[in-house]
Amino acid sequence: MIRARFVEMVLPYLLSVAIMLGLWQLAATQVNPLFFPRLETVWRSFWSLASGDLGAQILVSLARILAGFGIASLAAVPIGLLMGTVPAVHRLLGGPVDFFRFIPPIAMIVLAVAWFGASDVAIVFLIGFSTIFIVTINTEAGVLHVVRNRIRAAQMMGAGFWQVFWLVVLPSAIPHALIGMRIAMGAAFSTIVSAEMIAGDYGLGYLLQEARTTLRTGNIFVGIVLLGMLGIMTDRVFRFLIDRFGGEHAGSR
Amino acid sequence: MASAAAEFSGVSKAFTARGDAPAIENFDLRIEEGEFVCLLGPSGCGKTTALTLLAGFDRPSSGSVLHRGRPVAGPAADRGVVFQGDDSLMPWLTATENLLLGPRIRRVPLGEQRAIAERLLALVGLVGHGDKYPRELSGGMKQRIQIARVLANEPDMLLMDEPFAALDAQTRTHMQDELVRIWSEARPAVLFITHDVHEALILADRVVVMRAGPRSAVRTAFNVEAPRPRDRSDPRIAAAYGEIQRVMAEEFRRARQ
Repeated sequence: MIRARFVEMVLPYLLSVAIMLGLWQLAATQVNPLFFPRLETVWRSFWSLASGDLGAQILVSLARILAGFGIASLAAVPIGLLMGTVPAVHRLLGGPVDFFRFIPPIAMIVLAVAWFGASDVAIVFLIGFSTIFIVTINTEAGVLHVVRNRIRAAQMMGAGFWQVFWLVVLPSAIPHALIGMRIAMGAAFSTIVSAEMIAGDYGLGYLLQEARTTLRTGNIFVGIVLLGMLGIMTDRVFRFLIDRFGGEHAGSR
Repeated sequence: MASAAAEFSGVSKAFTARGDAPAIENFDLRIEEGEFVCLLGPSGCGKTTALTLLAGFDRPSSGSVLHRGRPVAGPAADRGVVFQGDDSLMPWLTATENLLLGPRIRRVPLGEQRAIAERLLALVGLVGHGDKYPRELSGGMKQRIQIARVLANEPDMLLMDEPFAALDAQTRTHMQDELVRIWSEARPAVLFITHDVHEALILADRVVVMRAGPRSAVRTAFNVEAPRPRDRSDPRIAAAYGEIQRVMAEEFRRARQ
């Protein structure tokens, strides 16, 4: 019983990690180690970085992501709810949202630095820029996909506009907003690196930039692995929240 | 003359956005207080359109729809709607929370809400299932919750749109008997839509048959005299069945053309 569970639930994960590491090592033996260092080199780079301020670098990057992502989400959810509920607001903001969401945050880096200097503000702005439009359109989609009979059911039980909003529209839209935030978190992770490369003096993106100029490929690999792992961790948090808050009617289950 | 529970006079409804012929035209129907009316007709004949207008979800293009003598201005708790599918239950609420939505909207005190939930769960035979979510309930149980959540508002009128259509034959028969029992206690007026002649004869005081749409209206009506609870093998039911089935067959043929 326990063994069957192990084979089904745990083994595939271990296997995928083992295969990735195996392919890595295989590739590393074929290529100039300067471009593709072996596992043990990266492991040594990790420890030498970890004995320095690697933990602080990670925390700075995470704090910037959380700040930009948090502020943008707090703004995006009400905006998306309004756009979905009030057609005039959709007509007012739909165009700008669609316009800006096709501009990659990287294109805004130079402007952000010009406006806010090479500072935390510039980086947080860029993270927010990469988050806000994704969360907005997903929240709006959540409102627009509310099942019509649920609204009618609340109405025939005597609910007015605001009661329909609180009792039906909001609970229906929350899973979609969370899905938007999950996607936006991916965008925030890709933005943090480029933003810190140019505007940062600290953080994982800065670490990668510094490793590039000093040709320490081992450090680059450490940064990449860390980004992937941090990404998986935050994604798990969102998957948990989506499951917890009614993922079954947003199609995630 | 006393005002009826509901009265349609010369009602037409066209869905202008689609530019089609009106679904119903010059539709007249009077439902007395406490009367159980089944509306029969081939699909697409505008049965649901009529119910939607009385529920207040939509407005007639012309004519008047009255509820207890007053024009229907919009949906309200005095006309409870039981929807066809189960997608109108809130999946994030438990059975009890779903059936207490109306009292919650009316801000009924919590103690009273508990009493309402207990009474209604017992009435619809769902004691012990109150903490389950809709996805954990069978189709029949979900329709009971729909009926209970409407009864929680003590409506004087029930509007039911093929509420048992998706259930298996066994469950449907059981639900029909249960509905008659519940209706006999509270005696609301009922407008019940179905395309099942047998179902109409088991339930209704009066069976109203609509013509094939578009431009549909009432074709004819039959009073069902047999006492309740009705036996499905009662000869009076069998005789009425033959007669209504003949009219329905004609309308079905017309609907195909």
